[in-house]
This record gives sequence, structure tokens and C-alpha cells, in this order.
Amino acid sequence: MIERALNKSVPPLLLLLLLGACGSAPPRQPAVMEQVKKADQAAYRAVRDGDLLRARELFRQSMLLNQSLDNLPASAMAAINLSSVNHKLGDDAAALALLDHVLSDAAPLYPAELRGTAAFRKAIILVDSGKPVEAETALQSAAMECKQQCAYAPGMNNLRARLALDKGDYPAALTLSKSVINASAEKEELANAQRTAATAESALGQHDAALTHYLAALELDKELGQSTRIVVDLQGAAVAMEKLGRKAEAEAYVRRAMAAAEAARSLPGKAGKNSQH
Amino acid sequence: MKLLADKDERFKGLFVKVSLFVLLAVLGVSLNLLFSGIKKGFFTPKSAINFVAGTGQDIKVGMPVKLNGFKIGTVSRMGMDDKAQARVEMLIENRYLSLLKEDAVVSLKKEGVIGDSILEAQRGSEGKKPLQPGASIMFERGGGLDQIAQDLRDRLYPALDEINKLLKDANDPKGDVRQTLGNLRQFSAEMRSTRARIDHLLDQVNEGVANDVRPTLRAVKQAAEGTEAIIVKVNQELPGLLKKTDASIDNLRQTSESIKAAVDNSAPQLSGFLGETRGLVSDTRNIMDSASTSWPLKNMMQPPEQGLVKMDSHD
Repeated sequence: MIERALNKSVPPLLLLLLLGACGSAPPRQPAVMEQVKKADQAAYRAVRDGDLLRARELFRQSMLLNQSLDNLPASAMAAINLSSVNHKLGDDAAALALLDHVLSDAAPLYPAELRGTAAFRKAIILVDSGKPVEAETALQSAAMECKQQCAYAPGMNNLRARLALDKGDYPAALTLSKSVINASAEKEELANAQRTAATAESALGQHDAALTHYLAALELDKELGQSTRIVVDLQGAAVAMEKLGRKAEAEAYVRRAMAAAEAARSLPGKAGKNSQH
Repeated sequence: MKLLADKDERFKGLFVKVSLFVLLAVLGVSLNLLFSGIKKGFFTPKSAINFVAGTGQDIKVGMPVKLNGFKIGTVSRMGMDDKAQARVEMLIENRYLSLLKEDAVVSLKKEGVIGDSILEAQRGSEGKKPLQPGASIMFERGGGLDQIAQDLRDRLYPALDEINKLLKDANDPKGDVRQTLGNLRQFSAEMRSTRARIDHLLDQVNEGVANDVRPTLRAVKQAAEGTEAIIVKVNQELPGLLKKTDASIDNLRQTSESIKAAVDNSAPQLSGFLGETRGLVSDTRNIMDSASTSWPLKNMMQPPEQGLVKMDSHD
């Protein structure tokens, strides 16, 4: 029996060995290229693990290495990534300086897509810093670079909706966020649009619609694992339910929001203001 | 009625023979299982001991609990309590339970630099009672070697710098300590002249106001005399005190420099050791990366991330 089993497994094993022999190690790249690749991979891994301080160091290394090799698109990409990590760590001044460098006319001309992305991210940081006028200007630059349908177009509409909310222009915020909901956006932007729409509906007194949007946002944020935003969704849904007279349900949602917020706060190794995002 | 006739002599008593054979086999397997179980400690009496950790990170069911390098139990159960903390139950072999005292502590450690995580028990104080089954003990989360070395450096250097600064300030002629002592000497000299002036004033005071002013002036004179006496005493004792302070300061400086030198001496070795470890990890990562990009593993692995780090309009 065992002999038969061995006889049966020998040919596939031999075939596997022969196939293995066909493969060979890829040709070795120059040392600096290897370093860039390793730094990039380690940086993405650090971002995924939430080790933002290490990610910052590695993206900085990648940016400098790419600059030393005159690799313009890669150095711009590393600069934008470094800026995003700085923003997550709460160092907005450093984040804006890096983006300004990519957008500067004195700097080498980086690809339009990357310049547009830099302008869009600058606008996000400026909105967070409470500078709506400068944010509008940066958004216009991003729109100019985005000649055709670009990847960050739904994000721009969401950001415009955020600015409209801040100005108290709720109908405009609602229209803009609904345009994102109806378009085929990525889940992150779709969730953001649902949340903005919910806030606008709530401000306009349409609590039924607000609740629907909050619940849709909650579902998406759960899929994306965004704990801070889950808390906002739960709180928003609780407020909408209370306005609709569903007190018991509202209390349950408040309790869920508090539990989620408490657990997120107690998580070890939280670095920076947006480390969970 | 038999279906087949047992004509062959060898088939006589076949049922008994087969039954005996099967019975012996079953007995053998059972004994094997029994001995393996005994060896693995399945039948060793154990007692549950609990602890509460802030998070259950790195703690797993089945993780060994060790005392001075010997396995004394395992983590048997984990759950979350009503404060969202990790409640962990360990099963400790009864023969080792008496070695642990009421104030025993378990800490999460790594076996070697890159080894598995284990729970290391510390016995507790000698005078305390032995741990009872079902008791709860304290838990502390230990760090890796790298983290401990970094933590030590981070904590030690600022403290040493502060001590050095303090010592420099104490020795600096323009520093607060020396200036305060200088001011005290000056104050003593001024007090002496104040007393002389009061004496002079008492001699010259008008008889008309003498009755009103003299008691007050006397009180002031007495106070001045008292202060002067104190200052004289301070002045007498001050040089000795300063010498003692200088000696203490020198000792402190030497101690601080010795600690700094010890940290500096051990740092290169530590960094070399960490460098070796890093190299080992890097090589392992290379092998893993190569394996993960080859068939058939590449079909099971997520492709490495590239491009822009995600950032959306609400970040």
C-alpha cells in the first residue's frame, strides 16, 4: 500500500524538481536600485503596520535616493507619500512644505497626475488646518492638473462638500456629496460622501434621510476598518434616531459609539493624530 | 451452522487468535497513548491561575509559562472582561504552584532575540504565602531587547545630562548656588554695619522721644545681634560644608561619568549585536520575498504595495 503510494507520488515530485530547475534568480540590480526598492517596500509595510515613524524615515530615504538618481516621478511619489505620513503624524507644516516643493515652479516639472495629487492633498491638509481660502486655491490647482477624469476627482467633490458644510451651505454640500454617491467612487470616498450627505441632511432637518446615509457610511467604514469614522457614524445615527423619537435605539447607538471610541483610545502604540486611518 | 468448514488445521481457533492479536494491538496503542499523555503532562494535576492584561496582543492559548527556564504550565483560556481587558487563565502544574508566592508576577518575554513569545513567571517575595489555585496575579508586558536598550538609553541620558548640568551649576562661580552663598556673606557684612549704626543711633537719640523709640530700637538691635550670630555660625561652618558638598559633587560626577562610559562602552557591542540580528532578519526577508514571488506561492500571496499611500478627502 505504502509502496504504491510512493510510486504514485514520485513522478509528480520529479516533475516539480525539473520545473524548479528551470527557474533562476532574477538578475541583480545595481545596489542603489535595490536599496530604493527595499526602502519603498519596508515603508509600505510600516504604514500597513501603523509604524508611522519608521515609515517617515523610509520614505525620506526613498525620496533622497530617487532624487540622487534623478528619477523625477519616483522622487515626487516618495515626497507625496512622506507628506501623507507627516500629516498622519500631525506634522502639517512638514507635510505642506513637501507638497509645495512638488508644486513649485522652480522644482523640476513632475508629471501632471502627481502634481494634481499633491495639490489635492495640500487642499485636504489646509481644510484640516482651518484655512478654507487657501484650500480653495489648492483645489483649483488640482482641478487644472486633472484635465481628464482623474483618480482623485470624487475626492475633490467631497472636499468641496466639506468646504460647503463649513460655510453652512448645506444644499450645496448635499448636491456635491450625492454626485459622489451616484458616481463610481472608491469605498473610502463613497463612505465620506455618505457621511457628508448625512451631516447636510441632518442640518436641513431631514433626519430620516440622514439616518439612511449614516447607516450606509457605517457599513462602508466597517468594511474599511476605520474606527474613528465608525464612532462618528454611530454618533450621527444616534442623534438622527433621537430626533426621530427612537430613544431606546439612540441610546444603544451611543453606547456602541462610546465602546468603540474607548477601545480605539486604549489601543497601544498610537502614533500621530490620524494613525488609525 | 458454519458456512465454511475449517478443514485446514491452521484455521483452528482462528477467532481466538485474531481476537488476541487485535486485543494486544489495542492494548499496545492504548499504552502508547497513555505514556505519551503522561510524558506530555495530560494527566498531571494542574491549577488555574489568572491574570488581567491591558490587551491580549502576543498572548495565545497554548503559550508556555516558564519559571527560571522550566516550563511550569500553559495558557489555557483567554477572554475579554467587562472593561475590554484581556482576562487570561493559565494552568500551572500543582507541583510547581508552591514555588510561586502571592505577589508573583508574570511577564511577556521573547525566548532569545527573535524567539517565540513566552510568559515568564517571577516567584515573588520569600516571606509571602504560596499561591492558591484560582488566584489572580500581576502581569507586566516586557519589551524586546532592542526596545529595552533604546528605553535604557532614552531614560539614562537625559538623567545624566541633568546631573551634569546641576553639578556644573553648583561649581559655576556665577551659578545660583555659589551666588546665593556669596550674597549670604555680603548680607552678613551689611548686618554688622547695621548693628553699629543702631548702636550709634541709640547713643544719639533725643531724650524726648527716647522712651518711645528706645524699646523699638533695642528690639531691632537684638534681632540684628541674633541674625549676626546665626550668620557667624554659618560662616564658620560654611567652609566645611562647602568642602563636603564639593566632595559629594565630585563623587556624583565620577559616578555619572562611569555610568555614561559604561553605556557608551556597551552601546557599540549592542549595536553590533543588533546589526547582526538585523542582517539575519534581512536575509530571512530576502528568502521569503524570493519564495513569495515564485510559483506556487506567488498565487497565494498579495502583491507588494506600490504607488501612493492612500489619503482621502476626510483624512
